[in-house]
Amino acid sequence: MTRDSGRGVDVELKDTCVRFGDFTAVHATNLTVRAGEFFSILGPSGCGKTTLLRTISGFLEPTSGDVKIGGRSMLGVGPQARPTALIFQSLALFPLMSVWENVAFGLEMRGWNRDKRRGRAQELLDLVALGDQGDKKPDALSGGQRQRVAVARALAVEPSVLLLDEPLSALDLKLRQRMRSELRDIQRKTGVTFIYITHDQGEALTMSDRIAVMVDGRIEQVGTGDAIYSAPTSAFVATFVGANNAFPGKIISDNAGDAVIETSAGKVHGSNPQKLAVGSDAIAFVRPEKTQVLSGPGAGVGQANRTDHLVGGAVNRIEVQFERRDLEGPFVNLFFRRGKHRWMVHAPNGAGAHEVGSSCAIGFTAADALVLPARRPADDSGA
Amino acid sequence: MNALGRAFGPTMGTAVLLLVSIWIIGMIVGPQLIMVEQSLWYIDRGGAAAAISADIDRYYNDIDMLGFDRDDAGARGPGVSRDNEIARIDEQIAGIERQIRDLEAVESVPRKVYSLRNYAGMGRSHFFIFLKTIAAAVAVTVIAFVVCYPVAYTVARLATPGKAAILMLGLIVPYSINELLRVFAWLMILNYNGVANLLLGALGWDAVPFLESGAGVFIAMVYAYVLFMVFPIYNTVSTLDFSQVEAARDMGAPMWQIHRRIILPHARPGIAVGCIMTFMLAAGSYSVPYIMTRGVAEPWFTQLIYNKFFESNNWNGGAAYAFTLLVACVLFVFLMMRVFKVGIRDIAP
Repeated sequence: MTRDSGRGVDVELKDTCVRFGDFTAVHATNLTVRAGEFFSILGPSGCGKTTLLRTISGFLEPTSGDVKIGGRSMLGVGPQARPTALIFQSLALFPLMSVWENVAFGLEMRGWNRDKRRGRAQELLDLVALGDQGDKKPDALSGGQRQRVAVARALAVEPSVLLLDEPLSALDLKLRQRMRSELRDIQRKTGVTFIYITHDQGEALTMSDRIAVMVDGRIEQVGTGDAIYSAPTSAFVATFVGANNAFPGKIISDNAGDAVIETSAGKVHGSNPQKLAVGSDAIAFVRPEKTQVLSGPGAGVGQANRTDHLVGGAVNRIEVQFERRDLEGPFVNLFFRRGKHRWMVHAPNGAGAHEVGSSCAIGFTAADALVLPARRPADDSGA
Repeated sequence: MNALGRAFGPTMGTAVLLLVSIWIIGMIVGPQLIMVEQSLWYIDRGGAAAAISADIDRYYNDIDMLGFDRDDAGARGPGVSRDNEIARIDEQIAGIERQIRDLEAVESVPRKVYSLRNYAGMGRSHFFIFLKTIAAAVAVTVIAFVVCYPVAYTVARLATPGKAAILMLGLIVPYSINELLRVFAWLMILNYNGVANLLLGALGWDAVPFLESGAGVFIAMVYAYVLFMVFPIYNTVSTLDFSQVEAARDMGAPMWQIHRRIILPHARPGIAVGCIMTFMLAAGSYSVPYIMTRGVAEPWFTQLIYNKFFESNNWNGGAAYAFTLLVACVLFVFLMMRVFKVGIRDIAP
C-alpha cells in the first residue's frame, strides 16, 4: 500500500449504493472529497451516513458502484489494507492497554519494536497534548482526553484519510466546542483528509471546509458551510441546517426569479433561484434573523438598521399573534402564531416585552425569502 | 451488624444474618472441618490389642474345653464326688468368664490416635493415580477450553439476539438430559463393539480399545463438563464492545492478533472461571470414571477415595485422600488466578 506520510488523498464515491436485504441504506451516491479537506457528512440519525462511512473504511462493501481512495478502487480491499483510519463513536479504546500501548497498537501490528513504538506514541501524544498521560489506562482519563487518545491512535498508522463517526457526541457542550477547534488544528497540522460524520449542524458548520447534507440514504446538497446555510437547495436542507420560517403555498406568478406564493397567511414575495414553474407547490423560507417584528409591542427594537431595507424592496407583511419568548442569552427567540403556523424571530436580548396573545405583524424582504420546491425532486423520479 | 439492621429492619436483618451463618457453617466450614478431623486420627489396634484378642480367643477355647469336662463328669453315676467335680468346673468357668469380660472391656475401647499417618500412608501406586488424575483433569480443562472458546466466541459474535438464543438452546439441551444417561450412551458409543468402532471399521481401520485404554473416561468427561467452560467465556466475550475488534482490524491487526491482544485479555475472568469449574468437576467426578472404566482401565483418584470409605472401611484414610484432592483443587484455583491475573472480584463479580 502506498501512503504519503501525513498527506491526504481524495476520496471518490461513484454510484455507490449499499443495500441490506430490501432496505437501501445508501442510494447511488456520487461524491468527491478533495485531498486534505475537512469534509463533514451531516444528517439526522438513520440517514445512512454511518453506513457511508463504513463503506469508505472498508467494513462494508458497496452493493454496487465503486469507492476510490487516492484514485485507486477499494473494492475487495479490507479495512486493514485501506489508507484510512476510523475513529468510532464509542472511541473503542482498548481498556486493558495503557494509553501509549493504545496509540502504538497499529505500529505493534506492523512489527515495530517496543522502543520505536514507544517513541512514536510519545510524539503523537505530544501532538494531542497528552504527553504525560501515556502510562495511564484509558479509563483514568477524562472524556476529552480519551477523545484525543483515539485521534492519536488513528493517526499512528499514518492514514491518508481519517474517518470520524460522531466522535464528540458523548462529550458535554463546552468540551465539544473546544474539541472542535482542536480537531480542526490537528487536521491542519497533519494535512490528512478528514471525513467527519455528525448530526450536529453546529459541528459541521464550524469545522468543515465543505459539508454534505444527507437524508434517507441520499446526499441532498454539497457545499461550503456558508452555501449550505444561506443557499439551501431543498426544503430539507433549509429546515435541517439552522432554524427557518416556512411559508408553504403555491406559486402564482414568477417574474425573472421574483416569485409570489399564495400561502394561508397571504401572498409572499420571494426569490426563486430554481425557476420553479407557476402553479407548483413551493415553500418560502426565511431565516429567523432575517425576519423582524414590524408592529405591535416591541416593534423595530434593535432592528433599526434594517427598516430602511424594508422600505425599498417588496415588503412581506404577515399579521400574527405573539405567543412566547425564549431566552437564549445574547438574543431571544420570539414566537408568533397564525392558525396552525408558527414563526420565530431572533431579536437581541432587551427587545421590548410582548404580551402573550397580542396582535402584531412580522415582515421580511423578498430577497431574504428563498422559494424552494415543497417536494424533493428525487422522490418524483422514483429512484 | 448494625448496618444490616438498618438496611433490612430487625427481623429481616436477623434472618439474613442467620441464613449467612447457616451457609458458612453448613456449606463451607462444617463439612471441611469434619473431613479434616476425620483424616487426622486413626484407631490403634496394633501390638497389645492383637495380644488381647488372642487371649480372649484362648479363654473361650478353655471354656469350651471345660464344658466337655463338665459333660464327662455329668455322665458319671450320681454321688458327692460328681457334684463336687461339677461345682469346681462351674467355678473355673465363671472365673474365666470374668477374665474375658475384663479383657473385652479393654478391647472395646480402642485408642484413638491423632497423627498424619493417614496422609503419609498413601502408597506409590495410589500417589501415581493421584498425579495421573490431576494431569487428566488439567488435560480435560485444556481440551474443553480449546473446544469452547471458538464456540463461545461465535455465539457471542452473532449480532442478532434471536440467533444467539437458538444456539444457546442447542448448547443447553444436551445438559438437560441426565448425566448418567449421557455417560452410558457414550459407553455404548465407545465400546469395543460400539458405534465408534463400527464407523472406524467401515473406514477400514482397526478397532480401538477406547474404554480399556482409559481414553473413554477422557472423552466422556470432556463431553460431560464442556458446557461449564462455554457459559463463563460466552458471558465475558459478549460484554466486549465489538467496535474494539473493528478498531483493531482497521489498524491492520490480523485475526489471531485480535484474539491475542483484545478478545482473550477481555475474556480472562470468564476463562479463569471456566477452567476452575471444569477442572474441579473433572478431578472430582466419580460417576464418569466409574462407568467408563468398569475395572478394565486404571481407576481415578475419586474411585480410590470411594474404595477407602466403603470397601476397606477405612474412613480415616478416605478422609485423608479426599482432603488431599481438595487441597490440589484449591491450589489449582490459585494457580489459575495467577496465570490469568484475575482477583477474587473478577471471578465473583
